[in-house]
Amino acid sequence: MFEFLQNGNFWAYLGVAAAVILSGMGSAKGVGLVGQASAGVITEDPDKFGQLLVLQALPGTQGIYGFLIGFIVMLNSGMMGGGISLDLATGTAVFAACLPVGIVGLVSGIHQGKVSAAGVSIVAKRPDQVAKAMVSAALVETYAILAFLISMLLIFNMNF
Amino acid sequence: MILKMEKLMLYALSEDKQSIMDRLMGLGCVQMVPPEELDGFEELGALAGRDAPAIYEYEGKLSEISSALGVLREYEPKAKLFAKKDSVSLDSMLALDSTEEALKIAASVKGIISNIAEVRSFQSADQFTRQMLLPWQRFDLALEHLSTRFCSAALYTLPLTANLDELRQELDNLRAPLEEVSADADQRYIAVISLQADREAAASLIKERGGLPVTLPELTGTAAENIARLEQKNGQYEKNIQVLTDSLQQQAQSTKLLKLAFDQLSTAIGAQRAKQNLLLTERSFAVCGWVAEVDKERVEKALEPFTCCYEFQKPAAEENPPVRFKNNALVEPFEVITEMYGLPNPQTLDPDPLIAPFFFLFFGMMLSDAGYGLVLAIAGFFAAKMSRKGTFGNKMFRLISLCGISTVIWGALYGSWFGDIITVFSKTFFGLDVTVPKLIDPLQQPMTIMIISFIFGAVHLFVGMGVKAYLCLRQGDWQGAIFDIGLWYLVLIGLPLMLLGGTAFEIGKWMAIIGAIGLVLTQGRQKPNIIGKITGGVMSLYDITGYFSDVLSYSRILALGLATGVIASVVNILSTLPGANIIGAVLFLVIFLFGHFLNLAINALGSYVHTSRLQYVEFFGKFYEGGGRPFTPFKPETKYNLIESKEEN
Repeated sequence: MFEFLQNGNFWAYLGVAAAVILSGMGSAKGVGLVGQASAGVITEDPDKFGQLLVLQALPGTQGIYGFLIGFIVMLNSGMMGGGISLDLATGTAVFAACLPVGIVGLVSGIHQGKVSAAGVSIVAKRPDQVAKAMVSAALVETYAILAFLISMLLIFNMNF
Repeated sequence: MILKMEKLMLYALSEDKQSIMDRLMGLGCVQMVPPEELDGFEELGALAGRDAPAIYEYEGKLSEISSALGVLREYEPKAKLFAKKDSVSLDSMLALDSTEEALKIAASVKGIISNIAEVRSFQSADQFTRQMLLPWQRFDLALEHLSTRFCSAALYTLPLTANLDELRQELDNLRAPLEEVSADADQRYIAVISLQADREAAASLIKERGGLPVTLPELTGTAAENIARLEQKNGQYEKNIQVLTDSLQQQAQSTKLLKLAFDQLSTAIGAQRAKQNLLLTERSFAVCGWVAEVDKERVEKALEPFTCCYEFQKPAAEENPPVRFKNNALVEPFEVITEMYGLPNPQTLDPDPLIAPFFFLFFGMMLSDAGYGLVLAIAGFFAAKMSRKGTFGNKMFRLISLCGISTVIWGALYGSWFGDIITVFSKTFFGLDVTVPKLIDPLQQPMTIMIISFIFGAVHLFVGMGVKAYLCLRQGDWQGAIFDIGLWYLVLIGLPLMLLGGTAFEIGKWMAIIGAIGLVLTQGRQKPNIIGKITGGVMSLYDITGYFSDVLSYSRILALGLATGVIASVVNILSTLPGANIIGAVLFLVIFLFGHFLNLAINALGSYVHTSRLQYVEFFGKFYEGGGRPFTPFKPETKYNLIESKEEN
């Protein structure tokens, strides 16, 4: 009943799914956290919406990285065209290459969201210091970028 | 560069106090120093008195006017985008002549607002009564005649679940007819007429069925009449409110006077605040302030007509003068980056000329799309043209414009114009194969760009370390410059040379070895004993991991560049999916505009944040010392008007 595990296509599709799902979950959680925190500030001072939107957008990048990896796999492997037949080795390799961006995206998205949500109180009290809140959040994103880079380089250098 | 500051000590006669202070305010280049910060304040303070400022009175008036302006803002005709502000001469700004009239307007605005509130409260009370009467609309007994000598009509609400027929039967036995007036989703509204003698009995029967007595407000006439009367009154209220709102609208047509008064009052408050820094005797006064060296002449010229005595003092070593930057037009926008991080210690240096080229370079490499670059450059250019010179916004727009230019350059090198839209578009709609010229394709040669990024990063770091060495040398710390920076240069240049092989390998090897030995020997030099010196030296080699991760951090340049390019091509694929027909062309336009707008927004933000991070963490980490105070000169505080700049004469 586990024949599908011997199918390379299955692993490649699973990789695309993992990259998009996990990093998307991380970003959704992170962006959500910041949104909740900023709603309170906006009720007090609607003019800060612009600055808060910037903070809220920051944890959204992980989802984009995951989506990009998924898309590149689709493009390079020919999934866009439909019929592909990957052997088991290639399929599992694709799956493994998708893991960095998925897993790191999930965790870093949530943590970047927490840092940005804390930055919301900086905007509330000292809106001129928003740059510092943004840089703190960007420090977390570094690891998502590194994971994205590795996933991307692995997939670029794969022979489908 | 950071402008050199000097301290102005000014002594003058009391009779010139007002005109000298006005002059200094007009100059707008002197930052008042509170006398508490002066040397020997105790003795000076004992000799001299201080002004009692009249700030509270002004602030009260200011808040009246600003709340009136706040009310009127809603009704004001929409200001044109980037409307120019009115110019006012300094003298008329100081005149404070429009306060009285502005206060009158403010009071009338306040009166109108409270009138509106009053009418609204009447209106809502009536609305409430009307809601109560509505269910009884069909009850045609006048409300003042509900109770007569022998009879009484009582009103109840009855739950829908109660059995109406049984109740009617029971009440009929009491000779008390029940009338159902109306019903809604929750309950019935009933009226029961009984003899006065049977009233109690009827009431308890109804209560058993869950009925609740209803008391209507004391009104004359039937419910229907009252409802009609209230509706008519409501129309009048609406009319009244309309009239009041119209008069607000009228008032809002000319807020010029209010705005002028607002600026005059805030300027007056600023002047009063500044006056707190004066030391007064019976016939003279003294004041101290920071002036940039370049502005000294202007101050001297302004003080010429007065009988006074002044001197400029160089700041003492322990003093912390305010920080003011002066850079050329290309570097000036990058001051924003430093200002957002926190100003540098005035003893160090202005990092902006060093930030400028790297920020320019890195932002362009990260966004790396010529189409997006054009959008940013043009939008930034026009926004900067519209905004006032010298403001934060103006600098920011110029920064965006410059970064846009860099993005165009890199985008052209990568052959990316809104992604690969030219190729995709001509293929879909015209069936042509067009290739856009490019020097390097990041998708084909990511490693090349990664290496370029690392090299730029290493140069960036070396410049930062060089600044540190320069600062050490300037403070006479030659050991710090040679041992902490020079030896690391040897190691950090030597190690990558070894990668090249051949002679370079040999040279690199010996550079790295000499550097490492030097570091082991010198890095523990602050430690008191020999064991501490050796362990300190050996441990310092561990810092190599710090330099390594600093360089790796520049890989984000590649990652963000790829992200922009790939998302752009995804947008292009999606936008040309519908095909080459009319509907396809429309869909193409919609998806193209929306998708690229989104990609530009998110990636421009990402590029800005991550370029800033490379400056703040990697670059500033090597040398930057914060702690500078911003330069806040004594000048007219205006929000709605501009001061004509003719103070030079």
